[in-house]
Amino acid sequence: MTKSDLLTALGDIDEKYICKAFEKASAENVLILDERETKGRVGAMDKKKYIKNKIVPIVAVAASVILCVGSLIYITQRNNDDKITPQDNSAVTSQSESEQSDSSTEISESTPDCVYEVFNWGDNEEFAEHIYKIVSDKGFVNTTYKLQDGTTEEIIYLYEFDCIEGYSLFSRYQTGSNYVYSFYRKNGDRTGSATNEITMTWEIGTESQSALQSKIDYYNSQGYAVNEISNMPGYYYVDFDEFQKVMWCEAGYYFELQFPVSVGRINTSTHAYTGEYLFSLKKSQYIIDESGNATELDKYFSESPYELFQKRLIELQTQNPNEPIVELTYNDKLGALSGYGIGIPQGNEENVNSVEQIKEFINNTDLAGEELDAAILDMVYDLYYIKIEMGSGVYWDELLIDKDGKHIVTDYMGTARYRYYDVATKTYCSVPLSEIGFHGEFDDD
Amino acid sequence: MNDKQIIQMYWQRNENAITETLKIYGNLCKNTASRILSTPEDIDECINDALLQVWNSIPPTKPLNFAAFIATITRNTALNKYNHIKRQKRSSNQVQLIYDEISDCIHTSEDIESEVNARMLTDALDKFLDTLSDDAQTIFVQRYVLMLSISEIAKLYNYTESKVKVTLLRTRKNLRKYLKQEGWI
Repeated sequence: MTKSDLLTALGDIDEKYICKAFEKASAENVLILDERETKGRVGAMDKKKYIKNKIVPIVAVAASVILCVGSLIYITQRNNDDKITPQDNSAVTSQSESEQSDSSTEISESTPDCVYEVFNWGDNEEFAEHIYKIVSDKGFVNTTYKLQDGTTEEIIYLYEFDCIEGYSLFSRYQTGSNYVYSFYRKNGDRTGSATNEITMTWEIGTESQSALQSKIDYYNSQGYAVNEISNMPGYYYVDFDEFQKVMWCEAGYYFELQFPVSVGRINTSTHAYTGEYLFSLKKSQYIIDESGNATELDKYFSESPYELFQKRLIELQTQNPNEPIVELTYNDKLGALSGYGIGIPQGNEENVNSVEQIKEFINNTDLAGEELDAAILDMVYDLYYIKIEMGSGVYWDELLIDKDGKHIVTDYMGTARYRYYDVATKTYCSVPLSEIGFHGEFDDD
Repeated sequence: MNDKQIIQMYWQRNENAITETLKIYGNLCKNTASRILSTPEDIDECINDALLQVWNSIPPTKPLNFAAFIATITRNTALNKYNHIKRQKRSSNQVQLIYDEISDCIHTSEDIESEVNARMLTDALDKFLDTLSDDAQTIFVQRYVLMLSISEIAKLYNYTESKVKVTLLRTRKNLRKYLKQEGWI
C-alpha cells in the first residue's frame, strides 16, 4: 500500500464522517474559513504570491531587525511589547513592494553591490529564482548565487543579519526526509568597496576531511568562530551546551546567532553521515513564524528550554530517585514558539500521561512483562517529544530520558537503535533501545 | 436557495444548479482545491471537473450534506490532478507534507504492495474512524480528507493548535497500528 493509496482511500470514506466534521464546526467558524483569502500555503502559492506574501515579509521583517543594529534598514512599526505584529508586518511588506517607498529607496541606496556565497547541497533552480527575487526586491543588486539540488521543496526560511560584514541569508528546506541548509553570506563590506564571489558546493558523501578542514580554516580566517569537525554520526549537533540551539536551528524558524553551529546531515536511508561544517553566526534571537512575523525570543522566556529542561530533570530526579521515567516540564511560552519546544503542551493535559498516571496504570493493569513494558513505553512516548514546525507542517519527534537522567535519547536514527547523548562522556552513541533501559516492543516503522 | 433546492435542480437536470452551486460553494471549492493545487489554472480546472462530477453524480446520489459532498469531490478531483502533476514536476508542498505525515502510518515503500483493493481499504478506514473519539475523528477527517491546515482546524473547532497536533499524532499512530493489525501493512 502506498501513501497515495491511503490518501485516495481516505477520500472515499463514508460520507457520514465528513458530514460530521462539517456539522461539528460552528457556522461562524466555517464562515471564517470560507471567507479567507483563497490562497494556498507555502507550496501551493504561485511564485509571485509566494514572494509577495511569504518571503518578502520574512526578509523584510528580518531586515528590519538588522537595521536596529546596523542602522541600515528602517523598521516601520513595533507595538508596545516589541513584537512585530501582522499589521506591522503588512506595513513592512508594503514598503518592500513599493519601489517608490522611502524605505525601499533607502535600502537600495545604502546597500552595496554584493555577492552571495552559497553553501548548498544540490541544485534547485526554483529556489534560486526565489533568492534572486528576494534580493532583487530588497534592492540588492549584482547578486549572484548558485544552487544545486533538483529535488527540494519550497520550505524556505531566510534570515538576514549582520554577519561580520554585510548580510547573510540563511535558508532551510527539505528534500524528502532530509534537510538542506543553505547559508548565504554576502561578501564585501557595507560600502561595497570589496566584493568577491566565492561559491562552494557541497556534494553529499564526497566531502573529504581535508576539504572540510579547508572550509573551516576559511571560516576562521573570515572571523567565524569555527569549532572542530567531527565525524561522529549524527543529525545536527555541537557541544552539548549548545544542544537546544542546534535543535532550534533544525526547527528552521529559530535563529540564534551567537553560537557555533554545526550543520551536517545524515542520509536517513543509510544512516551515513554525509558532511558537516561549522560556522558562527552573530546576532540576537528571533522567532520567525509562518506569517513572517518576527519576535525576539527573549520575549518568550528568560531561560532557555535547555535550562528549563535540565532544571526540571534535576528536580524530578531528586524527588523521585527511583522513578524509571521523568516528566519533562513544559513552559507554555515554549508552546508559542514556532520552533522548538520540549514537553507537554498546556491545554492538552487530558492527552498527557503523567508519571502519576503511569504509576497508577502499572498498579492497576493486568499486563506484565514485555506487554507492560510496551504499554509503558507507549505512555512514555506521549510524555516526551520534540516539537518541530516547518512551514505549515508540524513534526513531532519523541525524546526519552533514561532512568538515570543521563541519556537524552532521540529516535533520529529512524530505527529502533536509538541515538543518545551521554552527558558524562559527552559522546553520542547509538544502541538498541533495550540497552538503555527500555524494553518491549518498539515500533520502528 | 438552499441545498435541498439545488439538489432538486440537479435531479431535474437543470443546468442552473451548477451556477447556484458555484454561488454558494464556490469559495469552498476554491479553498479546497487550493489546498492541494498550486496554480490558479489548475484550481479552476479542478473546480470545473469537480462540478461536472457533481452533475454526473446527482442523480442518483442524494448527498446527506451537500457542502461535505462537494468538498469531498473537489478534494478527490484535486488530489487526482495533483498526482498527475506530481508525476511531471514538483507541486504543492502542503500536500507533500500531508503525504509525509500520513506516511507515518504505512511503510513508504511503494513496492511493498502495488495492488490494493481500494474498497476494502476504505471500509477498513471507516471502521477505524468508528473507533475514534468525536474530536479525533473530525480532526483527522479535516486534516487528511479535507486537507485543512493545523491552524484552520484549530480555528474551526476552537481548539488549540497543540491539541490538534497531538490528536493527529496519536491518531496516526493508532491508524498505523490498526492498518498493521488488519494486514494492510
